Amino acid sequence: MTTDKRFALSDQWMDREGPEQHVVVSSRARYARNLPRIPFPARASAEELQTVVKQVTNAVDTIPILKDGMHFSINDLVSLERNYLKENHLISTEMEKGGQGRAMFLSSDITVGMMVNEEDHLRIFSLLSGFQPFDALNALIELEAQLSEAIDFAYSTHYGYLTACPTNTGTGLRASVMLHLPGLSATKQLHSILKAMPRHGLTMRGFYGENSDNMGDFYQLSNEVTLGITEQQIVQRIHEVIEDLVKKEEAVRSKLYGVRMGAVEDEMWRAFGLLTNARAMSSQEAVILLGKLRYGIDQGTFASLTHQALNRLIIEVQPGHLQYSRGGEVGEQARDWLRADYLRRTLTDLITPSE
Amino acid sequence: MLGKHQICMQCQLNQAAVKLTKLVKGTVEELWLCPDCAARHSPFQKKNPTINLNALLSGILSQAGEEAEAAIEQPDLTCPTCGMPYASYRTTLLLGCSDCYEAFETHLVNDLRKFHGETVHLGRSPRDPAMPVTPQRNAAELRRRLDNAIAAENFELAAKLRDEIRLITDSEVPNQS
Repeated sequence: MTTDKRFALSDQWMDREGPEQHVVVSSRARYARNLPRIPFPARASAEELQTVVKQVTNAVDTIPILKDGMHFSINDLVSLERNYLKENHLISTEMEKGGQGRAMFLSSDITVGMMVNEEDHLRIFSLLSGFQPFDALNALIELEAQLSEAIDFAYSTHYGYLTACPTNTGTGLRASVMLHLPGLSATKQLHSILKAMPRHGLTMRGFYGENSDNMGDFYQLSNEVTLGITEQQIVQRIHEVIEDLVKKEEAVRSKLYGVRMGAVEDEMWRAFGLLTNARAMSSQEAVILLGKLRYGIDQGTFASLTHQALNRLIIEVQPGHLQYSRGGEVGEQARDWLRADYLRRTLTDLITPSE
Repeated sequence: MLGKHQICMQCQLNQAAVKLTKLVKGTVEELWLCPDCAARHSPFQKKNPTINLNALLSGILSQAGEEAEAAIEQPDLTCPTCGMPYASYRTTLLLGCSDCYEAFETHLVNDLRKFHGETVHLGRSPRDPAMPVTPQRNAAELRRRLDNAIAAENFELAAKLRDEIRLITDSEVPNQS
């Protein structure tokens, strides 16, 4: 269990306003980096993993943004805390499992951080609200450059940065954006759009990264290729494809609001009715219903509900968040009651229908 | 018939080149495999070293071509730094240490090409200064979207786009007043 009081604030990145938040929840970028000659984490001994942690900790001491932030050994966190970090999109499903020599560093404003000894020795990342892939990349480059003054990263002039899995070799960069696409999903256009993504060098991942499920109409898109392409090219490509997707989503929503306004409005109010009256609700159902409120925000139906507040609610109804705010583990059935109760209270505070 | 884009059912990565049909208790089981996995699969394993696996498979595979034949060889390599055998990489797709890249280079380069379409790094190098990267944004594009938003009577979006355009044009032309 951590004693760092700032831990509970590790979801604050969601509160920041960002561009295109009606469609794009977040933008992130990560670099995979390794120390030369020390075996990659899966094959390293306990001592070798400690050597990595020590080197990284020493480097962090020279970098103010991380030095003043939070540091954890993942095994010092209880499973509820690890789950909380995962739901905040700060650690991976793999990291959530815990493990010797695995550590986590976060800046106190939660814009940048790193996982130590996950698949690679270092997974350095940046995370921003809304559509800011270039800002995310720049924050990442800045931190990586600072780290590289203290740590020699495994690098070959031919293959670039050397990573545990050759799918990350080269730049080691994975840039991704989390999208909410209720409009495109409703019109079935999405299937063909997503099918075309590999042609743009992009791939779709689940809500919580690789091998996780999609929820509601949320989609995470990221670059597939990391070698033979520059960071600028990777992010420019994502920028263009997503910008286009945002436009398409906006067009479909405008059309829906025009042609099917009655039906869309009805669906939204039904969701609102359930969210503010149900006594038990699964996280799956909550995410789907909350997604439908997006229409109301677009149309200015609610006086004080914003896109980022909605994005945050979607995270807050996740099992880990509910239990974390409750201060202990809660069974699944009891969680459904807790969730419904939480939604009733929060939405009544946030939503004042303006009609 | 061999599907053009049939992916190996074992490693889920390579293109399948062999269909293995097994008769299990009267039921036919079909297994599509790439040459690598086929080579590891029991009926094809080198129980009898006199069978030339290459010749056997290349007889079956008319489409797989030279690349597949090259991949069939199971090199008996080990990384001198971390001691990881190449075969272990083939099953996990995870390398043992940064020196494995050199130890397995001749084989790894095929994988890099398969995953990335390229084998030469173009991105940042350790000595590069951290220069900010910017999008090639253009105001004309935003204006086009603004027109669309107004036409669609999406005024909230229109207001946002107008602010964005102002932000760009302000930064392009320093304010004189």
